[in-house]
Amino acid sequence: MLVKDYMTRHPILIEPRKHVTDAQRVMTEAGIRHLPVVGDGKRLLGLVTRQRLAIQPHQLASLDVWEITRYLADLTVADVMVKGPDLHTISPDATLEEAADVMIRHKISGLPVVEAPGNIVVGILTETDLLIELQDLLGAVDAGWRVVMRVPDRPGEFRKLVRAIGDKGWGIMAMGSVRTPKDPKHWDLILKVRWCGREELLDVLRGIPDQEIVDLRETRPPAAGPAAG
Amino acid sequence: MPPSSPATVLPARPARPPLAQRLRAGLDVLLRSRVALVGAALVLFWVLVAAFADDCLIQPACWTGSPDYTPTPWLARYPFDKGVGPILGAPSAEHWLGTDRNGRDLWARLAYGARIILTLAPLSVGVAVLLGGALGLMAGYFGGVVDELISRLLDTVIAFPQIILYLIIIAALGPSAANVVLAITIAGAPGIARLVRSLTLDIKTRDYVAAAQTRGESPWYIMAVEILPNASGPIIIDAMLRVGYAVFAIGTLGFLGLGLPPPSPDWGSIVNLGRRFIAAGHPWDALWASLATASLVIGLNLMADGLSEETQRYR
Amino acid sequence: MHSRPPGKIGQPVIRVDQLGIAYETRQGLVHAVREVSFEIHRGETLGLVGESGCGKSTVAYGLVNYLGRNGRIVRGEIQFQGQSLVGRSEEELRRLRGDQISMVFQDPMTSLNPVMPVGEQMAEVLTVHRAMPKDEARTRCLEMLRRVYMPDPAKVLERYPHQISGGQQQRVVIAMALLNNPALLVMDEPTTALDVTVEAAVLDLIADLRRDFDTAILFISHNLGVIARVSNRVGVMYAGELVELAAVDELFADPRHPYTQGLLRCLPRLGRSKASSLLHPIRGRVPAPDRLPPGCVFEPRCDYARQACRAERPALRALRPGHHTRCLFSDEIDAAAWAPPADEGRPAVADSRPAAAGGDPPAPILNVAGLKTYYRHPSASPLGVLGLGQTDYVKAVDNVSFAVPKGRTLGIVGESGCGKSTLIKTLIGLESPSGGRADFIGFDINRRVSQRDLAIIRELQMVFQNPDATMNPSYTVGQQIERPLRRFKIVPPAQVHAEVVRLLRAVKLDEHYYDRFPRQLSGGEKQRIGIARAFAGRPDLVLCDEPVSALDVSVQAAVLNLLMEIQREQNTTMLFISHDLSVVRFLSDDVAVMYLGQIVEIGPAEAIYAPPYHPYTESLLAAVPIPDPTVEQEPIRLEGSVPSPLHPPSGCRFHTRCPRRNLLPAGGQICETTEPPWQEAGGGHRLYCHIPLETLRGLAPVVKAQA
Ligand SMILES: Nc1ncnc2c1ncn2[C@@H]1O[C@H](COP(=O)(O)OP(=O)(O)OP(=O)(O)O)[C@@H](O)[C@H]1O
Ligand code: SF4
Ligand code: SF4
Ligand SMILES: [Mg+2]
Repeated sequence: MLVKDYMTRHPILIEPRKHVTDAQRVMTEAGIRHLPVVGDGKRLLGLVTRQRLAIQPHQLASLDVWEITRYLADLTVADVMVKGPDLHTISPDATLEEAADVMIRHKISGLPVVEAPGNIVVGILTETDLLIELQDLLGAVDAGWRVVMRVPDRPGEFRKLVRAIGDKGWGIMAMGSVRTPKDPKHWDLILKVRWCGREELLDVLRGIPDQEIVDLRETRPPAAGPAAG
Repeated sequence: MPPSSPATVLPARPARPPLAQRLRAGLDVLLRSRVALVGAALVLFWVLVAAFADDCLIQPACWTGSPDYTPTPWLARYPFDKGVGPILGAPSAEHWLGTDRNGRDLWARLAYGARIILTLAPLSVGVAVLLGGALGLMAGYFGGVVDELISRLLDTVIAFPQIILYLIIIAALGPSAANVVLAITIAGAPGIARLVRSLTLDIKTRDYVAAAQTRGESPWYIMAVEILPNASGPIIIDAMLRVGYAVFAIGTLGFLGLGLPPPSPDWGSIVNLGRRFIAAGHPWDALWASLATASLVIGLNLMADGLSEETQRYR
Repeated sequence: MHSRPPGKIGQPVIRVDQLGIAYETRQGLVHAVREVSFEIHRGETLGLVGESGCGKSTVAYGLVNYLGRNGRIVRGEIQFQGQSLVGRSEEELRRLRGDQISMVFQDPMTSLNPVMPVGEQMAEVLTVHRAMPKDEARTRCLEMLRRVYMPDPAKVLERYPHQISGGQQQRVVIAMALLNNPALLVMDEPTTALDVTVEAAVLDLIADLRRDFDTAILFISHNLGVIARVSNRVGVMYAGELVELAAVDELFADPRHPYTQGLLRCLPRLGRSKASSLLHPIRGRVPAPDRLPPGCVFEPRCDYARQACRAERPALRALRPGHHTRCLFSDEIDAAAWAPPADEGRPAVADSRPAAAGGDPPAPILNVAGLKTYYRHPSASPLGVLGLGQTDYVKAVDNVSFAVPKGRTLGIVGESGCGKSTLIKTLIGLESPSGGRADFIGFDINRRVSQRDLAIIRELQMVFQNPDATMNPSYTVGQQIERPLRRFKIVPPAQVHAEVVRLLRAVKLDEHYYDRFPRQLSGGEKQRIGIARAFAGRPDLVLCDEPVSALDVSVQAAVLNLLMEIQREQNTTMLFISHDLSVVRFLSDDVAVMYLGQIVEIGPAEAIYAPPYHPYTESLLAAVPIPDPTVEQEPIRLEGSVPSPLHPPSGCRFHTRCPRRNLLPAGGQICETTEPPWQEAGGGHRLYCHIPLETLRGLAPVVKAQA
């Protein structure tokens, strides 16, 4: 659950002297939204994002048509990249929660992952990667039964549930818990169970005292990724 | 199933004798290199000059010295040892390169000098190659004590500066053509031996040498037949360079008065004698003879360089 | 543990499109690589396989435009991380090579500076490019060396490259290549120079690294077994073109291009014994890039060629998603229905062993007992110079005994430096033995060849390893085969020429070769001449020192077939050295396994390749790269490298690396102190180990083919 396990390694990089149009082309062709800008030795200098490539209105206003063309023609990556205090990064050994925190706090959708010393870019972590983690956490990747149980907020409930399933020799692929929305006295436990049938599972769950089945449904793995040619 | 044939569907090739084939290959290499070609032209020039210093090549009467011999006018115009023109004459239509203090034609002297140098230099190097090659082969092939002995001996000779070696030998034996050859051989053989030894050390590790050994061939057979031909390329190139040095060395000896005794027209002595008249406004003797030496040496060097570069690229 | 399918997300790290590379030569532009297209994703290994001169290396160097003065990219496009590499400035490429692309070559010493300690060279990568402080860099290097399973990494950092073994050097190079965390790693034959056991460890390492670092790897090798072990996808190159590209399992299970099919048929398989098969070489040879056939480049050698193939050059097309071939008839050709062409030679031949079950084996023709060959090792102490002090000996062959019956082949296997070649050289008389006895047809051959009788010399001949050195470049083929004929007076002088021609025919060359010089021959042809020369004197015993290891697989197959055929015709006895266990299996009746100058196991071939194994044999078998991705091998890997034969370990020499010692009580302490006994496993199969035969019999076979 560390950044280094979920980041994309070997991100596409660009050099600061490159032209903005180059950056634009690379980002469109590769379908990416974040392009780390690096100097010698992959040291991070900045980050180009989609927004940064759009011309800022206040700049536009002061230019006439001819100047816009020239302005665009001279613009380098170094001119438009996010840098200095606006540039946020994360270490590969940070937890995903930490990364999520940085991203939420600064309202950004991607973080270059850099290694100290020297701020060497080793990867990039984007919202997509966090969603993948969520998917993994909830066990959405494999087929099985997705169960949500509502349990009272007191010690021992969790164990009762796990025991009931474990005694049968079924497998728990994933598990998560949140305080029931708008009901601080209860917790919602979500788990993915496999190697069992619907009815037998229902029987067991119904047999647990004080717990309520909120939801039970079968999940299948998401469609396989796009076939690569 | 389509008919399949082994890798032998080659057009019938007329068998050519290997020697001719190899000469041809050697010539190809020479022709391919510009540098070698320029060098060869220079050397060839002097070979022609030497050959036609007199016209014995075209008039047999010249050999016998019969009285009805008349020199071809445009070829062998003057003898090298008789005054035929003005004393210390400048170049003129009559005497292309001028005349020396005895009124001898400088062109004739250079041409006859070329004969001497083009005989003595290759001869001495040839002898040095024979001697050095044999020593190097034995040292390299047998190794051990033989190598130790030969190498020590060679090191001793190499320890002397070459020029001192010449001086010692000539001073001890007196100036003569044979002694010049001897001096150059003794001074040159160790270098050649070292080269051949290192080539032999390399070649003797090849499997074909082991194959010959496992046939029970004698060491002499292996050295002469299996090793030597494969070392010949570098040896030839080295020898060519050495002929250049030898030309230079013979010139030097002549200049020091240790060359062939007068009136022999060897280039070194021409420079030596001519140098006294430079200040007197007659630089021609020294100039032409030096140029001749330089051009021949450069020619040989270029040839060697070009060849070695080309053969290296060839591999 | 997480859901991202490896490699397939997003853009490939590198995409090569219709790449064409040419070299300028005296004969004009030579198009060494044409129309090559592929891509490699993160965490994926693309194997590139093909015979020598097919342009594999040229592609690798082309990627980073490292083509030397006379090479250049003439066509096509290379996209690395979304940006084109073609036409980039030298400076940009240099930086890219430093930061994002690393290369590993066959010879580790090309990448190492011999006069700088390993640690300094490695640290330089980090300190120069990244301005990392020295001690931090050192820690990183140490960590990376551990990562590549380097034993004793801290010590290695202090050493100079020549002070570590070849396998360790290659690990240093790989570690160095990884320090920059490159997106693309290009490896050109990185394990070719290594022993099988070391190779296996390095290949494991490469597979691990690809997974952990998500690196895209282009892995080049001529060895299909190696390729099968490391690749996800495989590209087969032939004469400068990519002729087939498919996922590794599919390529080996269902090759669609006739060349790929041919390659797979050339390979000797571990499972096949001498009796069961003949190899099927591909006829002809790879055309030179300036003399390509007009249509399909494989057409002159293809068994399925027809008119259409000569008319147009097939393009690389997709048969199905992910499987591409460059053959017009890939859909129709059925590899299973292939039968050897009629003229390929005789059908599989009977075992050369005596047929009758109870029949005694023929009397041994060669008897070796307690043979020792020591090389004097100059001692390092100043006393040694004076000839005083104690002389050290390199015990290259130490107490070796075996016997070879007439007409049989004894294969000898072992890692490099185990004394195989010294053994053979001693027998043939190129080295003098230091002790023991060797008897050949009743004559003592315990002396150098120069002291032997010509009659004995004639009966004992040798085939050498290196095709380029086996023939004297100054003489024609004819002259070189003639020499033994004349020397041994095999035929009257008037018939020498006819006999040479006969020998040439015997090695499947025709008389035109008589006047050729070695430089006009291919490696396989030279090797055949070497064989003809060795067999010219009709010797009783032929010693072969790795005769096929420098050859391409298709040529190797032909030469192996040839050796076997001639041997059978002349009923010659053979000693056959090879480091390749499949080749030995193919050719030998009996096999001896050597370790550090000693034979540790000997017996009939099929007994050696099945339990009970000697632990060393077992590790060798576990390491052989097998050209079939479905075969599973026990993950047994040897630690470290072969110890120095100067001071071999006490007791069992294998004890420093033996993975099976723990089967013995007290972790095999006895192995360190006591020499093991020879144990008879029956049928002439003997092994040299403390572990009781019963225990060894109980071990599972190392190589498990899928049913
Ligand atoms: N510098 C060069 N100049 C001219 N031709 C070259 C040069 N380098 C390679 N070639 C030719 O290009 C072709 C491809 O060579 P390349 O080295 O890429 O083959 P390869 O598949 O790597 O072979 P191997 O398995 O022997 O390493 C060969 O025909 C070779 O002779
Ligand atoms: S195109 Fe024709 S010649 Fe080429 S591989 Fe296919 S069948 Fe053979
Ligand atoms: S004797 Fe001991 S160390 Fe040697 S092979 Fe057998 S178990 Fe291994
Ligand atoms: Mg190569």
